[in-house]
Amino acid sequence: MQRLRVITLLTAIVFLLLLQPGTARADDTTESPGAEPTSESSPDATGDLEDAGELATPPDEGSYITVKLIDKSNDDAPVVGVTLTVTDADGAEVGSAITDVEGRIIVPIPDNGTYDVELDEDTLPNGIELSEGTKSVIQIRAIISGANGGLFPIGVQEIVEVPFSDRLITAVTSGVKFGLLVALAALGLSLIFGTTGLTNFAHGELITFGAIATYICNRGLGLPVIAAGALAVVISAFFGWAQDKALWRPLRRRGTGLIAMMIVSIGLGLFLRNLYQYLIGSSRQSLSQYVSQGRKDYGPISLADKELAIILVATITITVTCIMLMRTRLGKSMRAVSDNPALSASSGMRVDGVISSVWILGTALTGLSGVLLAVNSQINFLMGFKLLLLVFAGVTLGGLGTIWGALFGSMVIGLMVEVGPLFGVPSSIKEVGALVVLILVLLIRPQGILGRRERVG
Amino acid sequence: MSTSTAPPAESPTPVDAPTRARQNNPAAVGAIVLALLAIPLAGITSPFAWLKANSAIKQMDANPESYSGRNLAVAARILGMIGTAILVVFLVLGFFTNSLPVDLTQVLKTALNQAFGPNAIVYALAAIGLNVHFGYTGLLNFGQAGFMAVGAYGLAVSVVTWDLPFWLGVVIALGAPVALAVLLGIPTLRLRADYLAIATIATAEILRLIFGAVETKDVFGGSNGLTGYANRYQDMNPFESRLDLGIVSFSARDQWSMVVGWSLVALCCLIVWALMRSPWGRVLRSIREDEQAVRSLGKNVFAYKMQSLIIGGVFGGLAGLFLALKQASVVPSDYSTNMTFLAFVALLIGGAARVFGPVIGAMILWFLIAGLGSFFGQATAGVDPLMPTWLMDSTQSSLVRFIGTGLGLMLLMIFRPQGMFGDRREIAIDGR
Repeated sequence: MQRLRVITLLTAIVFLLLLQPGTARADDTTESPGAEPTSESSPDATGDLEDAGELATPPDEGSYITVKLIDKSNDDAPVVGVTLTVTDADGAEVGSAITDVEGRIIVPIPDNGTYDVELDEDTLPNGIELSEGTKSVIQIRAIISGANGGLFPIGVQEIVEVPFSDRLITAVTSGVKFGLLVALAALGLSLIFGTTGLTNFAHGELITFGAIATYICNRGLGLPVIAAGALAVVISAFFGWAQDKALWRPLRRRGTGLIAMMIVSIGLGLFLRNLYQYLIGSSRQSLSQYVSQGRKDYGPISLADKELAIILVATITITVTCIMLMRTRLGKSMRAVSDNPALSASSGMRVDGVISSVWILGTALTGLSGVLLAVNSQINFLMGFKLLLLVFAGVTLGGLGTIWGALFGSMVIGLMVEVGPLFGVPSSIKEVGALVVLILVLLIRPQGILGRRERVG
Repeated sequence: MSTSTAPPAESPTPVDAPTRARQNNPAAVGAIVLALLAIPLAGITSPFAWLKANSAIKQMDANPESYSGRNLAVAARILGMIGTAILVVFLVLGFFTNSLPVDLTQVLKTALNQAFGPNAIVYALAAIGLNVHFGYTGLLNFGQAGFMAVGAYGLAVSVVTWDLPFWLGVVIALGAPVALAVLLGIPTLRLRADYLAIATIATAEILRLIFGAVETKDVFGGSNGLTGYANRYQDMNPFESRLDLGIVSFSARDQWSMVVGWSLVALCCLIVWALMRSPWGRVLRSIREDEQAVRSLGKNVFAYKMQSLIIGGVFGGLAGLFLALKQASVVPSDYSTNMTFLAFVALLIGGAARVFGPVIGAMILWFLIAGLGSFFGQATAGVDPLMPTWLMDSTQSSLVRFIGTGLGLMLLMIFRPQGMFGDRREIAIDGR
């Protein structure tokens, strides 16, 4: 979830100054020799960086374009030594210049019209790079009268001391963290799907439930975040039990089909989502503690304390759950019911009781995922819904209904989402990579990577 | 999965006569649900709760052994009576005096306007497509928003980005859903219903994210979408002035959209009707009932499913195309998963596997959504609103209708999966 932090914001302020506002256009055209200063100042500026110490001066006569580059985050410090090229509408170069100590260039232009200013990204100082969302070309329209100024914000992000291996390590770390969060929710989904066959489209809302319960316990009741989180997990577990008791068990007893239940879960999701928005509003909320923490270095990995805590809590919970499912009597009966409910019923198991415990365990795990997400970033009524498809992808990737499959699939999804941008996935839509993989897996191996081979169609 | 050896929790003492455990009378449960639903729905369901509770009590008195839950029914009857009384007082005050801050005539006007207006048409077209998929073939397509998106963007991209003629754009807009259906069908149609659901919902999200991404801004216009392709459509508008029929009124643009839209709906209904009474339609329905049986008769089930996916997808694309024309802009956030879900609600209200089900359903859905929106909007507006502000403020008031929609979808699926006009035996909800 943690992206390369957007550290700096660079703003290019473009002024177009027309020094002869009153005069006719023909005058401007005849003023074309005004371009000459450019060719003189250009070689000046294209020299060494030290030369950039000289301030660019506007030409005495004629129109010119001036662009100023400022590092917004760094106290509006000017960005020095960047080459900018001005071309006219036909693509012919009008002039180029290097930003001076004030981060400014001045390029005279022969005539009014539309000009493109291109920023040469190779000349940006070390550690500063245009963000992926920004084009390096700005279009400027020179209008006949008066001085025109415009603001062109350019996002820039600092590359954390560039080497690819470091970026990979950062991405893998956050991928593991994200994968673990998805895995907790996926484990819950997989348990519930395994025992009841329900494809729960309201599962995302169970994640949000955990987060909102934390928020209410923390901000509303004034508990410290850790206590609030623990309480939220308990509330989530209770919510799961109540949900099964009040909704799903009666439906099972009526003999409602699985697809009908799936549609019921869509309705429940819609209901809960809007109810959450009703209760906490549509803005993002944050908890009272651990909102922003500095990172510490652990060998090549740097983590904030809360991130370390999230990774540890998630790992321990997943391990304990898996051991419990493998070793204890309850775990055995859960797997038995998941395998064949009719047979487990006839061998004397209380199937309803087992399903009830599965709901409790499943929603508690999912709620924990929401709690950790809330600690990790912020709380929003849509946070779970946004994660839902990734959770589905994780579960399907590993194999619907298998526990190891859910874990494995979620880790793959977490890594895909975070590491993908390093290998060319556009970072604004990094989830797409994971979803495409989901569809590809369905095409090649529908039972999932670790799923049992069975007929699914 | 419901097999259970333990006695159900509701009846601790075994009942002697029936082999089946005593359970709550379904009518009583329905009544109490309607009575409670009246709270978010501004009392509309209260009279029905009262009626249903009466019939439940009658049923239980006639046959006291077989059901429990009389208390529920009595509670529902009382709640229903109170709700109905409040509703009547409200209606009288609202329509005949000005003593209420809510103008019910205005609420009714807004609701009717939306029920016949272009929004309902979009959802009717989308739901007709879903009807072909889900109602007739039993395919769970949760990605109808994706089909709508490729339809809308098919037109917008070809006209705005590629500078093609308008009519070619329309052809592309109708061809794009076919391509999407084929691409989507090949991997997923052989799979179980829930896999298809997940794959389609994922595809719709992928499309929406790609259409809205910064990196593809040059083609799809980023999160602001594309505009400026619908001039040709608006130029053909023969209407010039606003139409005012007293209770409903439509702008000239809306009138044109309604003429085009309702004609499209009628055409689509005709196509669906003709297809489904043909032998081809019967095969589709048999696939819904029992895929293996159809396969054993030598039919190529995959091909039939694919054809169904394509046809329903084209209806979806048409819905997107119409939406794009109607509002003269395509914005990626319009084509979210919620749109698919609302189209499903429309389909299920009207009744799946019925030709007019989705149309009626879309009209009712928009009647309710707009009516509730207007009612709660007015109830929370002004200096001294009807609703106490601690309970609901004006931003929250727009959410009540969607809370109601979610609740309504659940209850509809539980208590009346066939919707208003459907046939319960014809609903593909008992798949694996």
